Amino acid sequence: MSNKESHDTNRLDMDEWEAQINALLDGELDEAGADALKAQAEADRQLARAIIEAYQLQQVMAAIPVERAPESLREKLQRIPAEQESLRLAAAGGSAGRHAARQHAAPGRRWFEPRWAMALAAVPLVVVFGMQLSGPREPSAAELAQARQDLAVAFNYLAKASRATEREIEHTIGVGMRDPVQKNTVRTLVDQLDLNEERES
Amino acid sequence: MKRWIKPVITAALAACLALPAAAQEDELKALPGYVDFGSLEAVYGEPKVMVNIGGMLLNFMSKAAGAEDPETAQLMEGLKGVRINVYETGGELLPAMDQLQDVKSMLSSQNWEPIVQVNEDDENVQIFIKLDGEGVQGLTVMAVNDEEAVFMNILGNMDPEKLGQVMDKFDVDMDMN
Repeated sequence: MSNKESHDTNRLDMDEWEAQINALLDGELDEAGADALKAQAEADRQLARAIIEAYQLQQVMAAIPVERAPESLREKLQRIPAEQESLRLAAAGGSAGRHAARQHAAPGRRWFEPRWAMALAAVPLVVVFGMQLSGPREPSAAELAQARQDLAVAFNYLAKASRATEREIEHTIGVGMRDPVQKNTVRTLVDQLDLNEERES
Repeated sequence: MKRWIKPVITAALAACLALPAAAQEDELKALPGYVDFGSLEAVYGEPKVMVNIGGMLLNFMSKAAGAEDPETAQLMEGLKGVRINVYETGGELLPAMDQLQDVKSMLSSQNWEPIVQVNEDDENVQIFIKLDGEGVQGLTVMAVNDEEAVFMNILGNMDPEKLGQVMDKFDVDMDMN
């Protein structure tokens, strides 16, 4: 497969994913679809990350304050789809059409909305993806550079402590003995390690 | 999305994201080379230097050093963590000296071996090492003078000779006072 074909295929995947992710977060994806998406995301970190990013974006959008419209205006707006459907059914003609139109236009509320149930079902899915993404990941070059710098700082303080002990040894037993003493200290440590290894074997 | 669902998801997600950081700290605490230095923040304020490098970063640093510097790579491979807290004492030595003595007693009771000790009125340096059947498990350095109090803990298996060699490669200023 050429690079262009591969790129186009990835693009298609992303578009398809985007639609499914939106449906998932809106609670509009059925159980089978959610399971399939979960299985894909477990194998594909890019998809898992896309789900988290979409979720975060949704949270940001939700956090933007929305001015509530007056009650009367909201009622009018809510009636528009039902009225349009009534008009369409009435236009279709016949008594059956008029009956259906009356039924459709009748005010009422669907108390059970599956989309909310699906949204609730998506909670563990999002949590699983969150756990996957927050697991061990490769640090960035900047993080590694920072860690190296931190390590240099730590070693600097270690060197400083070594310098203080050198001064003490110099002061106590003289410069000539400083290096042999330090080397002996290290040698003692190494010997202890060797002894431990021998004991182990 | 229904309003009450969002806080539920947010709380669950936040809890999950917080887990690895806590788990990493717990992981270090569980190692035999870990030392709890307590805190001197109440006396000296926030540490002027606070370094906490975990095993994962050290592992990646080891891999990054890789073929270019096998010695450094080998040393870092054995390290599990590097922690250091440095407080400015501002000439007020007593609280830091007390803390140092407390930790020193604790280390002695936990089979840490003292390597070097400097006991002066205006300076105290203590270096301890923890050994077990598998080799070095940790190195602890505490240094208090009228400028600063340093509490350092290197966790993991290390060769003291190699540590010195690697320190040289990190451009450590040995004359720093």
